[in-house]
Amino acid sequence: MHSSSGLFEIHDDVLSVDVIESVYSRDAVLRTAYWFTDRCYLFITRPGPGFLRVQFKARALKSDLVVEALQEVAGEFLNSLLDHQIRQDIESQTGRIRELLVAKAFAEAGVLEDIPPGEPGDSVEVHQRESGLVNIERT
Amino acid sequence: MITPLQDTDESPVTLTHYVYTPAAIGETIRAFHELCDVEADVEEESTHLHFYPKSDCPVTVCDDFLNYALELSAQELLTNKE
Repeated sequence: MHSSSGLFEIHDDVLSVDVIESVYSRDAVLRTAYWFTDRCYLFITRPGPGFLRVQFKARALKSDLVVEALQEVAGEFLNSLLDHQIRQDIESQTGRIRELLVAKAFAEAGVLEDIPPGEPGDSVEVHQRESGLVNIERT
Repeated sequence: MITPLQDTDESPVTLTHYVYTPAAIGETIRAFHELCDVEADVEEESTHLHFYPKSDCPVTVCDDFLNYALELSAQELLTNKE
């Protein structure tokens, strides 16, 4: 059986969708695919430079609902892919600023400074110097 | 042309290294060695696989193999970037 519904091609209960790499990166496709492997079988090919073909196959045995279920999963896949791609784009545009803000916040809070050695209850010796200064040493 | 997910053992399944890393493919072959024998023809940009499922293995073994390889490859490629 072969049919087409705009976004998808369906052939022998395998649904395929082409993804253009100028819009969606390979990393976004992989990240999205990783989260869908528990729902269906996925296979990714690269028929030519610049686009990837993602194929979906149902985990369940053949039934009348297979095609509809695959279309639903593939639709969710594409939405999730868009979500991952946008996150990736925002990260590449604002990631450096976010790192600077976090670094500044930690620096102002002083949580990155070294902790003074010893414990408050440690015994010490106090030596009075001729200059008047006091030298304190841990014993 | 649409490549069937579960291919027969007559024609190879081609995995592009752009998506499936050789290391992930090799690890998957080792993980599935009790379920099916796999003959791998490794080229520079892709690996061609011939599946020879064993008699008592599940019918979905090839599809499971491909999913597993995809998961490992995604982990490898994405982790190396971070």
